[in-house]
Amino acid sequence: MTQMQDRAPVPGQEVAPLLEVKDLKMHFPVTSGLILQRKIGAIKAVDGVSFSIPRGQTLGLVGESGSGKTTVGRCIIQLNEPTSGEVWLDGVELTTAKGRQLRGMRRRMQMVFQDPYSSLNPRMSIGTIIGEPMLVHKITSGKGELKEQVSELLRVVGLNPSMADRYPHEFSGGQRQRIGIARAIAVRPDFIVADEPVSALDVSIQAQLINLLEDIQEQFNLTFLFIAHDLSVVRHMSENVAVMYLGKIMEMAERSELYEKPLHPYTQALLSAVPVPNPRVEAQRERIVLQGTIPSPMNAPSGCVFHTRCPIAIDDCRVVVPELKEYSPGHWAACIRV
Amino acid sequence: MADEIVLRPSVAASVPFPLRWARGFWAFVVTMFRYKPLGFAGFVIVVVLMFTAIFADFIAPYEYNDTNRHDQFAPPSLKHPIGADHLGRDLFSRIVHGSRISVSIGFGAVAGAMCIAISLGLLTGYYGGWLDKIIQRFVDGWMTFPGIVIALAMVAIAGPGLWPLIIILGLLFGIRGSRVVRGQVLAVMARPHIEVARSVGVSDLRLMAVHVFPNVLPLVIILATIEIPLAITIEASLSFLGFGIPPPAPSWGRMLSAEARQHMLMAPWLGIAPGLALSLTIFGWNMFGDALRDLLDPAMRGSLGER
Repeated sequence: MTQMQDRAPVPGQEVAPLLEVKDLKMHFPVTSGLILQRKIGAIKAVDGVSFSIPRGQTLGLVGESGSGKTTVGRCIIQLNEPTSGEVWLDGVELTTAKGRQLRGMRRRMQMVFQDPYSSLNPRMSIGTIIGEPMLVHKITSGKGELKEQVSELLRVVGLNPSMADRYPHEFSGGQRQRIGIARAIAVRPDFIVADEPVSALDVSIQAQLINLLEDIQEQFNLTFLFIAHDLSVVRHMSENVAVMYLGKIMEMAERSELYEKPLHPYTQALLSAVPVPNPRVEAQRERIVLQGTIPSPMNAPSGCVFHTRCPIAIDDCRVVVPELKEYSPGHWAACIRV
Repeated sequence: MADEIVLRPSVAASVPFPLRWARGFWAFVVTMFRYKPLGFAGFVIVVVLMFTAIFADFIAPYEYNDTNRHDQFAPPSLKHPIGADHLGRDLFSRIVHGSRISVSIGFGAVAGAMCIAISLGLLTGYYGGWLDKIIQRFVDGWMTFPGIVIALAMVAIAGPGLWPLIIILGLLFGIRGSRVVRGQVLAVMARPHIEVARSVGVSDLRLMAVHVFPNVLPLVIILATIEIPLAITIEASLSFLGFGIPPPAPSWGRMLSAEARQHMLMAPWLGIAPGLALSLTIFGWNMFGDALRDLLDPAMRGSLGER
């Protein structure tokens, strides 16, 4: 086991965290053969991820494409059945929950999806879309109350309640994402996975939606797992940040700690890729440029998965799998060279 | 512009139930007339056809089986508006009565076919796995035979007649159609909004009925409007081969192929009349189906006003 099992890596929390993920693994089997399918390998999209999120807080999950961050979110929401590991939401283990119990738990966790265009059913009016979670979980009694609730939700996300009878194609990307948010909060969940909720939108719209997410977090006392690849957005949104690479957490720390004193070379490289608004500083600062692209998760590198692109890798890195260790209170990193 | 978009639930929501449907229907007809003139023409043809089928007894001047030796091969005249056939039967009356067969075959067979296709397609597409493999291999086997061969074999077993034909054609089209429906179900299931519904906690049944089926429906409508004329054509072919509706029932297909073929050069109306009836019917159904598909798509509905 490369990572701690017993203790959640976010310290200073005496209260039990709302969400706790323990050694989560999602290996997609690769099969071959027409009739009798043999397993010839596995894509280790998520390989032993653990973290926890205290109630009311936000954990930012960053990493480049293919790092497995979306899969983590999907495994938590139980859209994928994880290969192994545990997901605890407020004392209930989700990976073993089935049928009715799982559907009951779905009321407490919702997801905001990345693509605002295809995540809305084109044949349902947005009133129906937003009302559906309440209908399915039998939260409202009667059509009148449902309609009222939908109007209220539309107002909360900054849309006009009279739009309830319109269809998704009549809305812009930003408006559709607002609809997606309204649907997610319709059942008053405790926990929301926001999977790159703003990355498909214009920068000007992004800011509005980030503000909206913050507003509803405060208003409904929500806990977020905020998945993104935009480091500045994550910094703005989250109390704690975890950096993923090839299915593993490379570094995890409190926000300012991570952004100011990154320990892991991967985090350092990511942060150095963020442009600085001051052109003079931007021209002079030293950037760590990573070579190549993220390796295939089907045959991940031996030892430290990052060693193929690491600027400070030594021979040991090829062999030793680095443990996620706590270097200062609440600051965890998986690198033998720290 | 927004006011012109019909079929909105909100527009009619305050109107009592039966009226809502009636109003929706007329609004629909008006919209089609405005934006889909060809589809409207098709709609009119279909309506005329159904009207003729229902009131055939009142429209036709003679019984379809009244023979008259003196009127053999009579050309169109006041007595016989589009002539008479080799037994001196009034062609117009036969065409009018024949519409009943076409309508029953078209509707009956395709209604049955769509029930089979939708249930098989949804079941195999949604659940997949072994159920899908077993059922679809059977469909594969079914599809290796040309439709007309299966139909012939089954008529040979079940015997000719209207009902056997409806059931046989329903099976024939239904099992084939299930593959098409299944394909569309798979395509819809891959869309993110299905995943979203799952994450919300929607049950399998609701997912199928509310999220998958409405997105498959346009395809089913197209399929149905293609298969109605196809069923009519197959009935005609079977009748020609002697396996369809037995004479003297006035099947258009039989009139066209069996009766007209021998005497067409001498009495061209024998071929023109049932041929025209068949082509018009098929054309009408196709145009109507096209327009229906466009009008049922919410995205198209919105853009109608801009055209």
